[in-house]
Amino acid sequence: MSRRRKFHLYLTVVTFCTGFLVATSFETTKLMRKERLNDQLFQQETQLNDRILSEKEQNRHLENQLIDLQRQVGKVEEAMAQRKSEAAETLSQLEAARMLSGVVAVEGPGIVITMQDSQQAANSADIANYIVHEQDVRLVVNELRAAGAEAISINGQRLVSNSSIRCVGPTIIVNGIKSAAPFVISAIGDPETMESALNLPGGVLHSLRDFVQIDLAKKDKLQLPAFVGDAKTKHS
Amino acid sequence: MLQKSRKITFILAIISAIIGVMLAVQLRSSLHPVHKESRSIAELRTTLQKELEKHKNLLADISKYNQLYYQYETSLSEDESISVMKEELERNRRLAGMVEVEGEGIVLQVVDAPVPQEPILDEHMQVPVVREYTIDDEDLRWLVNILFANGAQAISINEQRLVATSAIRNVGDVIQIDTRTIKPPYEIKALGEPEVLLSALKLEGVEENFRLANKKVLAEKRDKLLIAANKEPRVIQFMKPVKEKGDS
Repeated sequence: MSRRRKFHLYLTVVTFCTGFLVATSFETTKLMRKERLNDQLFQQETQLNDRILSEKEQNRHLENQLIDLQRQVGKVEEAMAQRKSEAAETLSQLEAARMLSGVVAVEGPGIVITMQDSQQAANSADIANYIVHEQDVRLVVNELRAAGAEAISINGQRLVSNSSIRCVGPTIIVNGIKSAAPFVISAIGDPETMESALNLPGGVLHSLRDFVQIDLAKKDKLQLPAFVGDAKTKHS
Repeated sequence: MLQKSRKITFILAIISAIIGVMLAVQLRSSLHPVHKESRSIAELRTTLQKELEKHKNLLADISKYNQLYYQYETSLSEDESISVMKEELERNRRLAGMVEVEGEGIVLQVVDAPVPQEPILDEHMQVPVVREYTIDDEDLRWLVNILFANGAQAISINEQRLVATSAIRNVGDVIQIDTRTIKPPYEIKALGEPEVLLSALKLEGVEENFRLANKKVLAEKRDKLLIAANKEPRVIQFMKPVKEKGDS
């Protein structure tokens, strides 16, 4: 009897181990195949990430180079303006045109508006009501323009004469450059006028504030970046 | 007796094998959580593409300023360098929309659609009430935005050229661009690749949207389209160029 029981015990242990082995080997081969695939994807991903990073680094470098170059050109132009009055006149026009077209960085007083999805969005039945849409951003920008904003940028992208504002999911695309919320709209102009225009009863902020989170801050000095890529525009 | 104990052995063997398999699977899956992709490859690719495009644009800008600098440096006389400056001025005025431009593009006309006269099939059927619904400022902003997003270089609405600071808004019953009133029918001229612009309009459902307001959008390709300059005097009061390298 005890012999039989011993036999049972051994058998249990052995079959247990066999089962374990079978399952393990099966899983391992499956996992290996998956891992190899994952590895490939992962490698591709890191490669892409690396390229993006290096490209960004290069672009930053190029941007600095461009600013230096612009400054150099500016110096030559100023020297010319000092020598001759005709040049001075042209230069002042040129500077104005450059600022209006948005190809140079500008500074001045203005306001900064931050728009983001409402905190209530998550636990509201109608989520669409509580997130920032592209028309909301356009509405604010339009109001700023009407209130005499001289230059506007959204998330560091200067608005020029053919800029568009699009939203895809939680991101905003301005001048073809994508960026994520919150959406920061900076505008140079008379801070008081712009603020009161936005704050009019029944105005833009009034109607949007119920749904999305909007913060407004007046600034004495604000810097807006230049628009990059004007060379792209054909028809010139 | 022997028969019975063999049966027990058999059952025992199967059960323990199953338990073994289950244990192993359990162990495996809890030890190695499945590695999830953090960002999709496609998204990374588009990011890279954008960066590459920016790179190209930056290089183009740099070469342009280099050329300008070179022209200044090599001009033999004061007059020549002033003419270089004037050329640069002209180029920038064009970018700012202060000069008229010409090229291929499309012309859109937003006109009243004829109210469809449907034969009354059922006399109990209610006749749909056509409300007086007009186009508002956001409709125009939306349309213009679609055109710009699809590569339009310059746009004018009823000969009012849009620039970086143009506001389109309802003032009372009419729409104003900056401070000028525009009246229907609206004619929108856009410079750009006609095929791209037209297909974008289709894709975004512009026609359907305007049909809701009882308007029809007539689109027309033009090989040669003239878009007027923005002649509004623009006074710069607040902004000035950044001379020092900013921290932004």
